[in-house]
Amino acid sequence: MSPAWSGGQSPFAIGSKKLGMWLFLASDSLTFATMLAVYTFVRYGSPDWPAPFAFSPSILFSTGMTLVLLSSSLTMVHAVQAMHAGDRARTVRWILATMLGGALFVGLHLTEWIHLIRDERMTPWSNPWGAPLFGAAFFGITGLHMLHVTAGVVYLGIVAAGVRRGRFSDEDVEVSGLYWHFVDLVWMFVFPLIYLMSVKP
Amino acid sequence: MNNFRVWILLLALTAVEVFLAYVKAPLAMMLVALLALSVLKSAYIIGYFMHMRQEKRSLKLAIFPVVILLILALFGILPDAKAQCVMCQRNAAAQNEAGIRRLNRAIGAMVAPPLLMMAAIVWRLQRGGRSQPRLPGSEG
Repeated sequence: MSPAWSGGQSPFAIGSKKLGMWLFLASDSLTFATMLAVYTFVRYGSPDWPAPFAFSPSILFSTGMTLVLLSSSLTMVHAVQAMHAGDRARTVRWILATMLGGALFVGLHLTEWIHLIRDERMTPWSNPWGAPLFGAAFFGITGLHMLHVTAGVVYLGIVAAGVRRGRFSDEDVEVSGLYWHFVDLVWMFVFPLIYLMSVKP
Repeated sequence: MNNFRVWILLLALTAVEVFLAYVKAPLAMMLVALLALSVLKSAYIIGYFMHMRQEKRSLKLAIFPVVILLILALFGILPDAKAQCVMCQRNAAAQNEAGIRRLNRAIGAMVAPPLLMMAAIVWRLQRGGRSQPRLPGSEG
């Protein structure tokens, strides 16, 4: 039997917290995949699916949000590296930078939502363009993602506070990093499928 | 391939995606191109930022094949998109906002019982089926 399966060590040679997070991320990716599959299904079956996202402000804002989230993933990688190097103060600063990115993302997203609701008269149950489920699909998917980002910011805050007090280990910071990169990963799919596939020509 | 270079690559791929959105192409081609780019971006995020490249092969084998298979299976419903589900939705659409509200409420009503059952099961498991904490040194 190969050494990995001969016993006496952690399965997959990673800690249980990390394995738990990977398994959670696998299941959560299925949740988002289901939402996107349903969106695909409804859109495929609707002859009048609208393409209402104007370059300004919708595409500009959403592209900006993508850049913010990608950058926050980079700051999170630095946080994990700082923790491995044993520099707790630097780790906390990088985690705070990541949280700032997340908060900026949510702020931009809510601004975009308010624009769509107020100026374009689009809500989860009605819109002025046709396909009645357009609003539900949009707000459902982006809303679920925004909830994950918000939960992530809170989670990172708890980790930052714990690291500052010296109560969390490298693994704890890595695990929170995995969650944060997952949130970014989901957006990599939501952004093109929801926004870029419905740009106003 | 250091982290900064991965980040630059991700930004560049994003720029390509936004550019593609404004190119006149059939919807199906756009979808395939955007999906391919998104999958490529995901590979870099998972491989480098999430350190999957440095993990053991057993972990990769445990996570990826099943998740990918299940995600692909979700799209097996697509051939039905032109059939019954659409009829129901079109019916609700014909009644406009009120119809959609009713449809959403019906879906909510159907989703609630399984979720409540799950919550009850989780709560029960979490309590461990005992109302008093186990005393050290005592059995049963």
